[in-house]
Amino acid sequence: MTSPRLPFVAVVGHPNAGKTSLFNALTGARQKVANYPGVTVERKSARLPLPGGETVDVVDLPGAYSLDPRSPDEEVTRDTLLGRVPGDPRPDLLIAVLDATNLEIHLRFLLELKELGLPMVVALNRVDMALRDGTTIDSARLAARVGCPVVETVAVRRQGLGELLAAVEGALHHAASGPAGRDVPSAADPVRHMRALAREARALAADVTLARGAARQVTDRIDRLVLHPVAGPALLALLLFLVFQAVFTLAETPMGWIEAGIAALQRAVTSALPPGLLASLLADGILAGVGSVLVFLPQILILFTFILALEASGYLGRAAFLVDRLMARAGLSGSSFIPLLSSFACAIPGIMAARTIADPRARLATILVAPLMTCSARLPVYSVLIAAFIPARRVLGPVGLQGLVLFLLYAAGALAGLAAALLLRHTVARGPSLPLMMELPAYQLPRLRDLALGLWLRALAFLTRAGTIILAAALLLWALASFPRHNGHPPDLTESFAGQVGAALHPLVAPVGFGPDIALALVPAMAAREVAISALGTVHAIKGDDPSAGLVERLRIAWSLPTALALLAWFVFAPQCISTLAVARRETGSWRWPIFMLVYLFALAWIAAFLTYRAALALL
Amino acid sequence: MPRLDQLPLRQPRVITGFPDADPPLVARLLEMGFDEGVTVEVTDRAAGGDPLAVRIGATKVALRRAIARRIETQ
Repeated sequence: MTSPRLPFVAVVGHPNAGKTSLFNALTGARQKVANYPGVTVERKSARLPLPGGETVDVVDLPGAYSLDPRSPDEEVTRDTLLGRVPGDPRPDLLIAVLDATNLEIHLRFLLELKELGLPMVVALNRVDMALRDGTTIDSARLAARVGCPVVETVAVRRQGLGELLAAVEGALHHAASGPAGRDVPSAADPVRHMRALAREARALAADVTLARGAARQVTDRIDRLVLHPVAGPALLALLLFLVFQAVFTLAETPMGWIEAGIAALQRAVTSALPPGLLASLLADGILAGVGSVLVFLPQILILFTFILALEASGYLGRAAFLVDRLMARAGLSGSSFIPLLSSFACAIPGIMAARTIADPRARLATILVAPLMTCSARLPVYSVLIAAFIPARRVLGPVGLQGLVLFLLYAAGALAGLAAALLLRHTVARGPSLPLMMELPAYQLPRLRDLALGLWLRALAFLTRAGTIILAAALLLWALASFPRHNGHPPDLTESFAGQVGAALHPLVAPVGFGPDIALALVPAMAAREVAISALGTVHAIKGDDPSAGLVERLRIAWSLPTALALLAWFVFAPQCISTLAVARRETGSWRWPIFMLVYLFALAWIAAFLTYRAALALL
Repeated sequence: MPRLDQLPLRQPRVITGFPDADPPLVARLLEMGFDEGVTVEVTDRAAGGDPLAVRIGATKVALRRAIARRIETQ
């Protein structure tokens, strides 16, 4: 070894083995989330002290069913195990996580891993659930049969972790003199080889299982309701309705706190500093720009709380089952449901979640339509425009016109997304689809600890974005609006660089009813859609503690109703987000698809705004 | 012999083979636990009869009829 490095330990197992719970239990908040080079597959790693004082690097590999990869996720797992990932050594030791309630199928993968010849420790997880089912496994016998230590664990209750680490330590010392790993044996007939392993696994499972209970009776009973042809979809619709209600109502209060906090900071800056470039940079550039985005953190976290809880409970797989036929009509499958649902919070995690879709063309189509799902960044734009132009009238019972318009905007995005997917699957992403085949894991109560950790990592990712790309955009906009200076004074907006850009772009959007102020606001909104609102605030020279209320009044005077409706239609489609394009580039491996996305979405936005504007002019 | 998509709900049967399945599909089926001699049972059907939820060993798998049609049972 040329340079000393820490022993490298990889946690590997099926997607539903409880692998991530085990990794979370072992590492807690020590874990670091990064991306593998070239792909946005998350690489979760941590530095972990062993009981004897030695330290190891542990990585949580994406869940995989075998070493024959079906998705970019599984490819990372195989490449890591073979030592082919740039920057990572080949693992010195594997922790193979097996689900004790489902030993036969998980043992097949274990036998495949054994062929790699790497030192291994088996974590026989969920022994409590197996016991509850009435299944007992002779782990000592299993250890003797597979030739490596087997430790019984209950990751969610942190049981068996000490023994597991001790076994890891022992195996590392034992392995120091042992043989190095082998490559994947290239069988003449891979299917035959896989079948042989599957049979061996079943015989092995039968041999080490002392008592076998009737598995998953609770899950079956719940599924009779959840997967019922009529009750199931009704329950899903109700659940989605409650989630969106919660996102909007529960987030209101914390959003108010954040807005008040930002306003207080702005006042503190303007009172502490003499008026001038620095005060303006801090208050109007950084605080206003970043604050206008930070305010959505509560909504994003609430939506993710639901998504993470539904995922951990095992329900999301059922949702995919229920919507599979609807998705099939759009040329997708149930596996596109989770990425598209996440896109209602933000297209970025949605596009990243698409990497679990095995079908490459369905995956591409899902990525390309993800921006059509109404992300939370569009909400402030919708809110301001609806408040300004849609009368607060009751339509039917408690249903108000404003809420109805908001719902229609969400529905328009979702329907347009499915229609676009269908079109893409017949054109650029043409080809036969890979039909749905997806494990439905046993139901379990989500663990608070895992939820909290997942939320923390999401919040961190969002704050990083606010601190980098959105901060940069806010600074750029501020500079464009504040220069060139006249005798040390900021210019009138029409004479600033920003005003000149807006004037130059105006002819492009004049046919859809947009004035130079909107043309200007659309430019910085490329960084993040919600910046459009702060940009309009700057353009309309709004001052005071509550700029958004002032903005509503000003827009009502400045714009006609057709213009406002056209702008709403524009935002249903427009790809106003550079980070989304950047993630699409990383996920698809080239600029080709993000550029395609940009062009087709802008074309859709322009057409939709044009039709809306002309129709409104004719009708109103 | 009935194919998996034709089985009535909750009637366990033993798999006898994968006619009309190409090697990559057979590999995917084996990974999920389907194999000759293993017992399967259709537990639920979505509205319209597609997809199916199938119990295989101690797992449950959602799959489309297009795949279930390629799994032959006793």
